[in-house]
Amino acid sequence: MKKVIVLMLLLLTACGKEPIEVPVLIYDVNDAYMDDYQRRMVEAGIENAKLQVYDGQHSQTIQNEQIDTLLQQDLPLLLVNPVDRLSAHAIIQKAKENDTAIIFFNREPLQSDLEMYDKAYYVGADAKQSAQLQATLIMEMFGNNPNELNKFDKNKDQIIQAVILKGQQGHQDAEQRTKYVIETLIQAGYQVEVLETAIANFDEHEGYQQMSRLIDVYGNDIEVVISNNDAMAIGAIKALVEKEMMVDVNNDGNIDADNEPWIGVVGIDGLDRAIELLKTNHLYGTVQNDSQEMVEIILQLADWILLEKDLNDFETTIDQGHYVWVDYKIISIEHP
Amino acid sequence: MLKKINDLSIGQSIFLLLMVFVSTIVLLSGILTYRLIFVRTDDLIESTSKEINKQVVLNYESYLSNVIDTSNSLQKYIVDYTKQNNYNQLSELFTNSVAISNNIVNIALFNQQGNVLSASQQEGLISNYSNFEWFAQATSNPDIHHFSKPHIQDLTHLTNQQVFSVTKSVEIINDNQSSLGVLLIDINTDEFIQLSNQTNLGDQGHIVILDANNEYIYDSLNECVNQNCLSIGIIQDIILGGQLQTINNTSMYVNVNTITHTRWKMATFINVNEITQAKNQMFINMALIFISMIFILAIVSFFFAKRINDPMNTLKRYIKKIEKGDFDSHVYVSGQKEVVALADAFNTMSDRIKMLMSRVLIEQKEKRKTHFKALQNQINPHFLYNTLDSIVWLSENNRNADVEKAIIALSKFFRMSISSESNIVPLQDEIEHVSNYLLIQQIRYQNSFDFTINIDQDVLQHKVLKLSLQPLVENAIIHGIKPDESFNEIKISAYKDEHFLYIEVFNQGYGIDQSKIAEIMHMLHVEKESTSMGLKNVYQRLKLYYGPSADLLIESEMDEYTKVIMKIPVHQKELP
Repeated sequence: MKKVIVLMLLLLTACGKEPIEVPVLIYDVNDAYMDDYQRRMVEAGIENAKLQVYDGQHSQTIQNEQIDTLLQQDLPLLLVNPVDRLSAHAIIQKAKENDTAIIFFNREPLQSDLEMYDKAYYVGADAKQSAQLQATLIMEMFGNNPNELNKFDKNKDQIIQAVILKGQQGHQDAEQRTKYVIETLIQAGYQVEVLETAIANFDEHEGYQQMSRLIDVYGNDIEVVISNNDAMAIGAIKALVEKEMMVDVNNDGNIDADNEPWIGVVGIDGLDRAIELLKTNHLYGTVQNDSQEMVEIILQLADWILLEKDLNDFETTIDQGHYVWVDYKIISIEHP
Repeated sequence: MLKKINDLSIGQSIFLLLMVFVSTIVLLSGILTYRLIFVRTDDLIESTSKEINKQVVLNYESYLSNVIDTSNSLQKYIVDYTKQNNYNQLSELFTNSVAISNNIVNIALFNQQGNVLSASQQEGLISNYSNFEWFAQATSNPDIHHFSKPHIQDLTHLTNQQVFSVTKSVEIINDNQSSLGVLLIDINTDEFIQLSNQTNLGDQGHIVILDANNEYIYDSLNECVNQNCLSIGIIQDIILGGQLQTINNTSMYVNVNTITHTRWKMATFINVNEITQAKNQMFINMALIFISMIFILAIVSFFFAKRINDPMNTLKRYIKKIEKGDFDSHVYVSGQKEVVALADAFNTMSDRIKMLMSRVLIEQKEKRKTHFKALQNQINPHFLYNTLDSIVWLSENNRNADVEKAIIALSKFFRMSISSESNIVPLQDEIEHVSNYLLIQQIRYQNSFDFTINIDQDVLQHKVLKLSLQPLVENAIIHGIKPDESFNEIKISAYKDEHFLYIEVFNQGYGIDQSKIAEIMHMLHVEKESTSMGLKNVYQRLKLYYGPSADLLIESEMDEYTKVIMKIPVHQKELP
């Protein structure tokens, strides 16, 4: 009898040593980018913890339900990619009530919401930075001298004539990227004329359609195509090739910007297909959001929280006690 | 406790066992059913409520996202038109947008200072709006849409329409300079209210909407306008998720959710009282069923136990009676056939015991009587006086040898009469006893009779009833001696055949006629006191002791002889 009790106790303690569950709430795993993100997270993992992925199915109500259920289990930490960033205020209040730390990623809650709870963090890339780096790419393309643009200022008016392919209207990233890319250029002394800002909802096909229309309207007036992401940039390149604004005359598979018809296209994200187009010089450059690095930082922060380490010593600065910024990088011919 | 259990009767044990066994099964299955159904019901309440909540949230979200979509598409035009300084056309666009939308009341664009740039209404505008709450809200965070509390629309003084103001900082371009303006879209609250009425949340079921700071936005019952109502407190407790709550004795399932894009929290209070009551009702029903089952079970097992126990108890009482010596009553039971068989066997047994007992009793009585009679006879003073007189007479005549003989015979006779060693004695002893008697009587009657004893050698040791012969001999003397005839003869003989031992007492004399014999025989059979006690006693003792085959026979020839024959079965085992 005693042996049985001892055995049961051993089993119980063995169960107690099972790794802590750390839920990863993804807004929608049907989003290829987030699915990839989620997979990288699970692969990397955290020592002594088990990452469990929950799919929000693009519905904040479903995610709310998941959070409610998970918080009832008294877990120490949640990793949340919110469906609706404005709903974070309720999630943060609820987590605070439970004394559960919470790391948001990929969609940034309002600062006022994060500030409600000292164990709420956001790990992400700054949309403003991506726009600034995209502006840097454009400056490079036009010769890095605001007072004397190079030959890509086709009409020699010292003004950059640009079309912008914008993501969803009202989407934070779309708004910020659109706003700051132009602002940075202007601050650097460049004159920019936005011929049109076309909404293409971050979608390749819509990017293609919008670009086809823009070519019809503006034709050779377009000097640069600024896209909020790579997918729309790829669609735009397809339209440019189709409308013979970009022609591989000598059929060597590469575009020679100096000798063949070409219009500069810049994107953001650093998709594999974008890198391919970069190699053939169809795409001038892109700004990469290194999701691997981001995943590593999220997991590191999670590990520190689980081990209750002093976050003042955390390797990456925790901005204002809540933000961990992961830098964007430029990828172009000059910056491979 | 264990001792108590051991002390239980069969009926009690059966009753207890049945009750414990069946009620355990019933209880277990009851608990199981209850749990199964109840967990289901709770799950059902939860999932149904959550589904309803989701649907309501979805309705509001799609309603509000329409407004946001309108705002987003207007923003693009705002950039274009402001760039061209075409504010009139923008106003026209706003007016048209209001016209085609059934829930937008006003649209207006302001510059950073709060001055109107374009508006769907041209009349009743005031010069500056920077002091309005919704305006300040829009500039506080330019990234998002702001939803105000419901209020009377305040863009113009023209109507008293109740609206929500949706505001957003937007990009406007003035002289090629990008700057931020504020876009205002007022939506009327009517459709909002209609939406809440579309969903059936049950009696007292309602919707409450609070903003991010838990401040009142809307409630469908109009109870919470003053910010202090039960519902708001509950929402503040729950923050997010679902809970079962009792409000004013009504079970409500409360779900708190967020409404996308708005920073609002929406709570649905769904009346689940009926389900909860149905649940309670079912609990009561199950309890009733359980109790009545136990009750029925108790009755059934009581009767079942009784059916087995009662005959046993009757039998027990009957045995107790037997224990006390009452063999007269019979036991009659109905019920289990084993018990009936047992009762029958008991009846047979008691009958048998009763028969044996009465036989022993009668025999004892008879023996005592005979004994007494014999004693009486022998102590009969006349017998003794006469005998003693005879002895005196002998002595006076100096017949000393006869005196001696008489006294010895008398002494032997008494000794044997008095001795109470056994009921039965060897025939030899009995013969000796009667010879002494005869000797004494011979002396008394002065040799007026003679006697011979002729016993077969092989029957000498045969056991016979003690004092059974003397009454026959006494009879022979009394009836056989004629006073006028000086000489008479008495013969005693004993022999046996295959089945019986015969002891004959023969006397010469008047004899008895057949009718007299018949009369005597009849007298012997009937339980009636008569003068001839001696003969009757012997007869009855014979029958008692040896059973029906033993007998007394009388044979006689008038003026010749009388012969009484005692017939005793040889092989029959003595009765106990």
